[in-house]
Amino acid sequence: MKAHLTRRAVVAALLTAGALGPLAAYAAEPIHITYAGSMGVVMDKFLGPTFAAREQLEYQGQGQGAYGMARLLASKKIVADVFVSVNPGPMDILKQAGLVDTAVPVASTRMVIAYNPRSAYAEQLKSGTWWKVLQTPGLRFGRTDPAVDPQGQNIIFTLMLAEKYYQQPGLANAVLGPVENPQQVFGEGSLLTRLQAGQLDAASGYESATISAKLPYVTLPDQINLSNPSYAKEWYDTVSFAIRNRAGASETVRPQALVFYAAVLKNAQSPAAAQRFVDFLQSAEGQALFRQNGYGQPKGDALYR
Amino acid sequence: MSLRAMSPLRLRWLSVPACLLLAMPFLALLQQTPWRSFSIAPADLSSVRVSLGLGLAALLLIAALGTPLALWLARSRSRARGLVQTLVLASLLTPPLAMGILLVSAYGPYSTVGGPLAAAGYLISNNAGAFLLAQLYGGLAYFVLSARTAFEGVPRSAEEAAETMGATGWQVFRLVTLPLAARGVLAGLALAWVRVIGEFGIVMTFAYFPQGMPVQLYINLQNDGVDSVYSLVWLLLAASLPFPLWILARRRPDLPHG
Repeated sequence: MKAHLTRRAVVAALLTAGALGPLAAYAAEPIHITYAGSMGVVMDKFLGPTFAAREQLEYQGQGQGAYGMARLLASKKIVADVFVSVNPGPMDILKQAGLVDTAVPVASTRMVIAYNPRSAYAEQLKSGTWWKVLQTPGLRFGRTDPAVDPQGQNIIFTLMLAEKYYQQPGLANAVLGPVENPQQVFGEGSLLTRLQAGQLDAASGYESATISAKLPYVTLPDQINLSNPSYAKEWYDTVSFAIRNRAGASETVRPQALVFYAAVLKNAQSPAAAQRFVDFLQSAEGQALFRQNGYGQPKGDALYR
Repeated sequence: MSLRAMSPLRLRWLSVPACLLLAMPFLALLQQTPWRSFSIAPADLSSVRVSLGLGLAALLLIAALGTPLALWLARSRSRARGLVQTLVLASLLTPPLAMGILLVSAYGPYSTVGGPLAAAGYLISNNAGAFLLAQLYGGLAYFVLSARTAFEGVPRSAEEAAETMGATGWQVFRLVTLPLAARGVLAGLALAWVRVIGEFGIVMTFAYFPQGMPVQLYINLQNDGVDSVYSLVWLLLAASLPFPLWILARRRPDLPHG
């Protein structure tokens, strides 16, 4: 009996040690980075690990739709050290909640038309006129939900701008149909899945995320790809559209240049490490990693300064 | 330590940690819900209609498709039984997100099954059909396993007695097997209902439209913040809890005495 108990106690102690061992390995507080969902690859595979190795600390990255993430942070349901957002919109939510003082631009991207290389329309998209090919009956085009995802709104702006730029009245409607078109609108994760699985011919995308997904794409001129703040006045600001909110009322949405902003959160657990992470994103090393992953250089000024 | 050594009082105290754990999220919900500004938006109501309406249809389909399979699994001695059992378990064990991705590949417009259907004019994508299919995959395996156990508990002798009295196969099932297995089968339906209503991973990847309650929760979080999530959680619980509660409350504990 006694021998049994001892053996059990030893086993229990071993199990406990086994479970707690990995925790003890990280004596320092881990750094918790929250970011816009499309940045998963560059954050979790490149920037995060490089920073963690250099600083000898544990990196925890968490990506999600930028607005949802901002709202979770603003309501303090999630506590993090740094937030990296695409567009100023989600950052504004944190500014209003008093959680950030400033946000610095760390990278940029542009809207592209991604396509599946095995699609029957791949050849035409590669060498033809993209906006004509996208109107082909039978071609399956996908985009994300404009009600929840900035990218879903951006592809609509891009097509509205293309309508002006190529002087093709009715182009946006011919390619996209209604704003919430069930034939085209998919959840953020689902869109890429469908495109990669070959169940869609083409889809809207950020150049950065499309490169991460190793998909071919059509580049678009700066006047319509929402990447260049210097086109904001003359081009981007000339389009807008209405969207229904949860209460059923109509809201007008306008484009914002595709710049990624990083900010240290005021309720960070490790504010010093958080600031070093933001500095790292702006450093030559951080910028090189962004560039390798298809991101453009930071554009424009810091927010709220 | 045998169960008999557990006095009821001791058992009760030992149950407290699990109860506290289970209650914690709902205490938070009670405390955090913004009661003064509690509002249910039109989009929330429409998501309830979608979830309940299509959920009910999915449940009927699950019962119709799952019952014969469960009965066969309970009765068959064939070698295929083990294989089929593995298949049901595999479906149960596949994480919902992975299942959603597999459904995209299996039923998408350029797939073996989806291709011909799309050519015939029916695309299984972002419509009621896709939503039903997602729910079906969410709940079918749970129902089958639960109903199989229930059918296994029906004594063969009762069925054989009915057969010797000249009952047809269908009559035996309807008048003897099903009533004797009713509790377990209904519990299986309740379990399937819970899965069907709460299904998010499969639906999010495979059927973003029409938007039921779990996807609407996600959209509310993105657009309006957590406060708007709480009211929909109340709505979700109010709409989907009564059915499983009603069924599970009917299950009297029929433990063997002594």
